[in-house]
Formats: sequence, C-alpha cells, structure tokens
Amino acid sequence: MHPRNVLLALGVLPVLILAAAAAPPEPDWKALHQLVRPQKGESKWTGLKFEIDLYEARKRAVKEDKPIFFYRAGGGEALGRA
Amino acid sequence: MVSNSWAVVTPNGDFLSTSARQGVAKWRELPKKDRLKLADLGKPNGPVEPAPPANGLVLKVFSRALDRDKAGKLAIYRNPTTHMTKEAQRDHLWLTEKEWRALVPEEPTRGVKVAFPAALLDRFCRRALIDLVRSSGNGGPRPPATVREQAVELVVTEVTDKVIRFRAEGAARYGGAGDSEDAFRLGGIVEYDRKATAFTRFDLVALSDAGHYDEYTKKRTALGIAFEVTPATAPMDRVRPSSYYDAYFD
Repeated sequence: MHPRNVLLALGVLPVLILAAAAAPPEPDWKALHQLVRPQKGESKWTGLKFEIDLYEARKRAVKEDKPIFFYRAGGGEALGRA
Repeated sequence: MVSNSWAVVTPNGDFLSTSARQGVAKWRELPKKDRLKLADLGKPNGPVEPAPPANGLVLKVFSRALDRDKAGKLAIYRNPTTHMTKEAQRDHLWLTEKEWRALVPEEPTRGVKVAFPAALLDRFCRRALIDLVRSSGNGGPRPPATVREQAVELVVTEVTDKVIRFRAEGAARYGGAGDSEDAFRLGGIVEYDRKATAFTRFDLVALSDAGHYDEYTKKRTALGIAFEVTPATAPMDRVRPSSYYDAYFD
C-alpha cells in the first residue's frame, strides 16, 4: 500500500472512532416506553368514570342519586391542554 | 365558572360547593324528590366535543420529564415545585381509517418498510413531540418553519397468519433560538391483528436528551413521549387532541 494511503487511512481512523464513540447508544425502547407511561399507583383519578357530555352526566347523576363534580381544565392534565 | 376550576353541582345546575365533601353533604340534605328530578333545561345542544374519526385509530400520548443518573441511566424527573412533573402528562393523537390502513403493507414480509404518510407524519411529530410538562405551557404544535427533519417508518419484523409485527424507527429535529435544536429519536413496537384488521399495539416512544425545560431550575432535562393504542370506549379516552382545532387532519 502506498505510504500516502496508509497515512490517509490512519488520519481517517481516529475520526471514525470518535464519531462512533460520540453517537448515543440506542435506547431500550420497551423499557423507555414503560418508564414514560403512567406508573403503577399513579394517576389514580383516571379510575374515575368521567363523562364528557354534560347531558349524559346529568342523566347519570339522577339515575345514581349523586351530585355532579364538574371539572374544567385549561391546560391541566385531565382533559388535555387548552 | 371560568378557567381551571371545579364545583359540585346538582344535575340541574344548582351550585353546592367547591369542596367535594361539603358538596356531597349538601346534596344529601336536599329532599330526595328534588335530587331525582331531571329538569327540562331545553333541547340538548348535542355533542360539543368532536368525536374521533369513524373507524379511526386513537392513541394515548404520555409526556414525561426524565433525568440521567451518573451512570447515564434514565429515570423519572420530578420537581416538587411544579405539579406538571408529578405524573405523566397526557394528550391524544387521532388517525383516520385511511391513514392507519396505509400503514399495513399489502404484501407483508420481513424487512418491508412503511413510511408514515405525510399528513400523519407531520401531525405525529409537530403536534405530539412537544414539551407537555412545562408549567408555563408549550404553545401548541411546533411551527412548520422550525422543522429540520421528520421521519418515522415501520419495519416488518415478523409475519404470521394472525399478526404483523413491526419495529418503529424515526427521528425528528426542530430548530430553536440561535443554533439550538431539539432532537428526538423514536423507536418501539407495533402490532397489527390480521384477523381483527386492527392495530392492537402501537408502543412508540420518542426521546429528546434536552427536550424538557424546567422554568424553576432554568435547566433542561430529557423528555420522553410515549404512545399507545386505546379502543377509546371510555369517554375520557375520546377527549380531543389538544391541538385539534388547528387544521388537525390537514
């Protein structure tokens, strides 16, 4: 091999090594998905049987003999962001 | 009642309390015949909330700030000062029937790749890859002018008579102030039930190493955004996506 090509290869090699070292490792996507989604015991309010239709809520409240807990979110977690 | 608030009311709209406990107590003091009366308040307006597209696909979206320990391992980031980090923040993503069907290859064989259709790709990325954890709000979808890269595709990894299994791959980059950039990597597992002709699993997750900004510490942390399919039978799973009114399906 021509000495110039050897020098060229040696010059390129450190750059390739550095590039490989700089690239972040591939995440464990399954584990990451489990980490981001709600954890066990979290968001207990999601177990409530919400209604999002006021008329349906009124009928159900009368049927079950219960008042309505009316919640309006403007940027909160429950109903998305306003 | 305006802005973020709640109240306990009767089915006919009479205010009881802003306290759940006191509201229930006052309710029980009312005569039963009054409690069970559904007053005629006029013809209902009908649903004011938009419904998911017919035979569409509804995805739950979870967004959470993450942090890395000294070994570089990711963990949930919680700042006691800000309620938004207490639990995963939520949104939804809607796909039309035409869009999700376009993700099913006509001849599924291992290695076949299916790219997200353009409108879906843009919606998936610009509207969902945002910092929902910020206390001061994120301002909605990313402006189109900030898009530097958006690409998501499904790669078939397994085909049986019952299921087509995919590996999801993707990347997205958005320009910020100056030379700053918000970069995401995406991965996950998707499954399509061939007999039910429906996606039964859509476990995608996106990771940005500096995608969350904590206004209290004025520092950036990692941001994780996870997606999963829901049959959307419960009312709260049918809540419209947060950016629905901004030409959502265009």
